[in-house]
Amino acid sequence: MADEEKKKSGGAMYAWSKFKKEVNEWGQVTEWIMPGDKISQGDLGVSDEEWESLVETGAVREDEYPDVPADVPPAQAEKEEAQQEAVVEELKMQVKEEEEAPPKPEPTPNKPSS
Amino acid sequence: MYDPGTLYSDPILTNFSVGYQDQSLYGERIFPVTPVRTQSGRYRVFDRSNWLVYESRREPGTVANEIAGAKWSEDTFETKERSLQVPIFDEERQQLTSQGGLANPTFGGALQLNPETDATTLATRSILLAHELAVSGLVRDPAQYAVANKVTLSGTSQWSDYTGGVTSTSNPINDIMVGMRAVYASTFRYPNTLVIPALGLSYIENHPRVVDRFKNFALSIPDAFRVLTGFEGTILAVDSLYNAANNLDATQNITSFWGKDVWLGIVDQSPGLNQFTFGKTFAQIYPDGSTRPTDRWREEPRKADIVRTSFKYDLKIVSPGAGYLITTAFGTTAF
Repeated sequence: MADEEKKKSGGAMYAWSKFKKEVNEWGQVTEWIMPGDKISQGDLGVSDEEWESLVETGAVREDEYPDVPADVPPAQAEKEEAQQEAVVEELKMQVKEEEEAPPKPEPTPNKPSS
Repeated sequence: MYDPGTLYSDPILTNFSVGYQDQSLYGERIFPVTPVRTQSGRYRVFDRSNWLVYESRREPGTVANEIAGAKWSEDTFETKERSLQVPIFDEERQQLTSQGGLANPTFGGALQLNPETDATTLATRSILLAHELAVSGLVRDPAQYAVANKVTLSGTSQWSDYTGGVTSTSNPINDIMVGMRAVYASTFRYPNTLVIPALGLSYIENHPRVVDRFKNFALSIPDAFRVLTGFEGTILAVDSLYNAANNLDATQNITSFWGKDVWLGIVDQSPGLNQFTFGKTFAQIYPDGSTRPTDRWREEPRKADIVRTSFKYDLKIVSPGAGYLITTAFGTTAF
């Protein structure tokens, strides 16, 4: 199955949360899988059912993690990007309307009163 | 033309609906209601941006430097109405009050059967279930958190995995402490609310690392969990469920709103725009002054009284740094 291969190959899934990769005997994490890193079922060594639950919760996604500063949540960045795009679109529309509008007649100079 | 003024807003049923608190729903306890008078507007956002050291030196005769407090959001809340109505058919009423009927005490029927109250309960609960789903959807979405404010546990790091005993990979106390530090680092306040699936509590209380840490500690003391985890605040053992089936007749699909995730964060229940809290339910106030009115009218062709409850709200995370999400803290087979 293609889905099965994708899961196992780990080529097309991305972490949207931090995952503990290696933990020492004191329970401290020595290596993380960070948001944005490619991740596969094999990296975590989990069962199919557990992998499905990770995908279901959104901790692992097919979509790449957005390129945002670490202290900004991706959802907030997406919202801000959408707002900026909307403003740019509006400006483009205004420019287009101005370009397509018929040229304004040049004002006729006032005749000097005789 | 539709004129909402002609509807009879039932004050008793409205008070019942507003005061209705289903013990098994937690949405409003995590996203407290902030009443607002407008349909949309900006709101205060709380982050570290106002931790500025301003130049405050003032020379005689000069004007003091003016500073801004918390930022206003770039985003706006926009309340949308959720409204459900329930019919009470005359036949139903007749059935209840008829001799030998369900409400007749002579025949052992319940004395307190009240179709209006039942209808209001049904409409209010259904609206609040949708609110609970929306809140849990936001709280449990990793995309709503910055990198430092989320972690996902898998395999042996899940709290239900005791492999290794006292040196197990899973470490609930450490994970909660990391979360507390992350919230403190982004807000300068410690989280005051811990949301944890009710069925997961015993996994923590009996975790070998926890038991080892508190060998001489009795679980019978009232705030055992608080002492065991080191968490000071409100612990919500969430257990709310809903039927995820498409309709009443479909096979039941009982689903937990909260899954196996754990959340800790700052929640301030007091209403107002200046409250420092993770998320808010902006609820628009209706003309009758309530945020969840119930109105009632008669539909003669259907021979029915209709009871309708409405709730106009929008959910917003106003301080993403004030929350920390631990996704899949418990294994798929844990409960």
